[in-house]
Amino acid sequence: MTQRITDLTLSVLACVAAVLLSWPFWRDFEYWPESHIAWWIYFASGFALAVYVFYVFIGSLRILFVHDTQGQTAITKDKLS
Amino acid sequence: MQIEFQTQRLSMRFFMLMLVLFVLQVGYGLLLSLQQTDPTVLAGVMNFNVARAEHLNLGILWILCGFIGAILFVGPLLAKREMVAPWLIKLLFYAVIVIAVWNFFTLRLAQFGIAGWWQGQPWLQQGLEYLEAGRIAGVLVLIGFAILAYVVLRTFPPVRQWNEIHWGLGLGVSALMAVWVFGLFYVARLDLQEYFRWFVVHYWVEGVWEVIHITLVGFLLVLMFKVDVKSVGFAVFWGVMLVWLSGLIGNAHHYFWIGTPEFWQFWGSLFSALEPLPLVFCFWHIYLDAHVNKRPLENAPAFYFILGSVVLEQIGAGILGFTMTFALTNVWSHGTWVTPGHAHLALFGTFGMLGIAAAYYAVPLLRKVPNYDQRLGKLGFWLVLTGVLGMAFSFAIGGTVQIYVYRILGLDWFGGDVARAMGVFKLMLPLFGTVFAVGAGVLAYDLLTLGRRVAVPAGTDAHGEAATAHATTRWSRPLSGFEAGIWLMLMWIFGTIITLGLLSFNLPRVRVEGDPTLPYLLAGVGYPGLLLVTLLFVWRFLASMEARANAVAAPSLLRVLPAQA
Repeated sequence: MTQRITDLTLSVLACVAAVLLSWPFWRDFEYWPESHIAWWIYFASGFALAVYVFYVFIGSLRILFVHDTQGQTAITKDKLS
Repeated sequence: MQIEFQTQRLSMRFFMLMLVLFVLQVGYGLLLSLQQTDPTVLAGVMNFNVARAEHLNLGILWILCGFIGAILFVGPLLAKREMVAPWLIKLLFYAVIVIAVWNFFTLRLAQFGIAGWWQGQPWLQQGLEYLEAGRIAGVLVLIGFAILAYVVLRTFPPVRQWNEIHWGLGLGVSALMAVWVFGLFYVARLDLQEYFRWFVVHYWVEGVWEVIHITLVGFLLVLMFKVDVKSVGFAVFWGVMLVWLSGLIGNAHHYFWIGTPEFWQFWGSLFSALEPLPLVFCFWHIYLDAHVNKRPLENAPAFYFILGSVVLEQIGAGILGFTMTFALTNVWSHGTWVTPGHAHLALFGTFGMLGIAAAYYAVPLLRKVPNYDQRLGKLGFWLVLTGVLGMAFSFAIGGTVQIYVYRILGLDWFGGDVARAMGVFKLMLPLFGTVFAVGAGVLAYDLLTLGRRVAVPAGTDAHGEAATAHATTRWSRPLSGFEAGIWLMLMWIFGTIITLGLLSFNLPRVRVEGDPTLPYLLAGVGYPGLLLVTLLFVWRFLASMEARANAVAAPSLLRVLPAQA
């Protein structure tokens, strides 16, 4: 559970940074759509999807390292036997 | 390893064709760099736009030849049987030659304003960037992709028996054909035409080629390091998933300035920011797979180019792509020299180097010279790596100057003032281009004549080292995961500096008052820092791998010089 919370927090933080770099405020809302409701839908769904992608990335990268550790262990066992 | 299936030999012709087209493309590149310094070179004979179209199209063609060669080489190994319909593969080979020759003549028609209109379609050439070839070539390419997809899918076992590598290649060759269809119709509205053009260009490169790239890198690592197929399969699966999760919407970074709805600027920026994730994943995947069992590097050039492919993917596609992918930075960088800096590293680095890696793995086996002299391959690698990094540096810094004088000061491109301001970097381009061209020539010569020269000079091993064991130096000690992480972090720190440099063009101090100090300073630190760290990291990584070969120098000598042994 702690792991999931940590991953989720990291994902949210990374996506906040990505949103800040994408935020239209920095260009005086030049590309703010006419419909603000539509904008909030784009924002909320985009943010949720981005958090998910980052969360998946962290999880899969961790498993990649777990595979490596298992591989190393297997090689060491082979050498010992 | 020996050749198990006769149809694997069909890959050889594609690798050879790849080399010929590669050298031709580099020739056009050199001409373009000369035309940048002196626009009158071959003006009226081979105009810049025509040479550029030939350069781009040949680039795509030779990379595809590399992919096809690699797929034909690994296909029978994955299927555990011969490829079906070898005659179709031979037909595909001749079709690629016909397309290359056809493009050579038809792309030149742009110079005379001839598109070959018939039934509302431009049949000879259409002038769309990357898709300059006309409809006739487009249809031929579609038929070629259909042949490739048919041969691969028919050769593979039933879908129930597929692992992730089968899926990667199966989806890759199918999508290669499907996505191409979006480039086969003419739309009069330019914004809509651009929309579909990016469907082909982006989804091909970042959606399909990337899938094939990840899969082939994974399988080559299995072949070279005897890595566990299951763990590579995991890496391939999640690599592909991350490419699609980020890249499918990330395509929107091409929609910023072509007249599409504004919300793409937010979505395009946000999802493009995620596009480096699969590349970071791929970086760790190659580090772990190459280091897990500490096997010696038997075929150094093949691994050099695989590493180059993954690292330049990280730098060119990942980091430099990231720096210019936000609407706030792209508003300055698009259409300037900053973009080709990214494009050369991403396209040649990621995909071109993979084709060369596959050739270096397959050709010695196909010609039955596993202990070939590897020195020319290594030399070629360092020359093309240094050349392409130097070109990227010239483009990036030249592009930063261009942004300032063109977009901030508002000087006119055609007035000649912008070109003069970029002068130093325009001169650096042919300089590094020549280094790259020499490297390309060395590689082509080496691979074309491999097996026809003396295999290994007396007194040296296959790596060209003196036949005595070397002491492992501090620089060539094993590369730990922690150290690799530090290198990766350094790359991203310089990437962040570059991003801030492009963002700083938005500051009133720069865009209103016209003070270029901050963007110039950040670009002046960021670009050289990033490219230097890249060069050093590749050197460090390869030194650590070479040290393994040195550690087993004595046994390798026995293999290389059996008569003396």
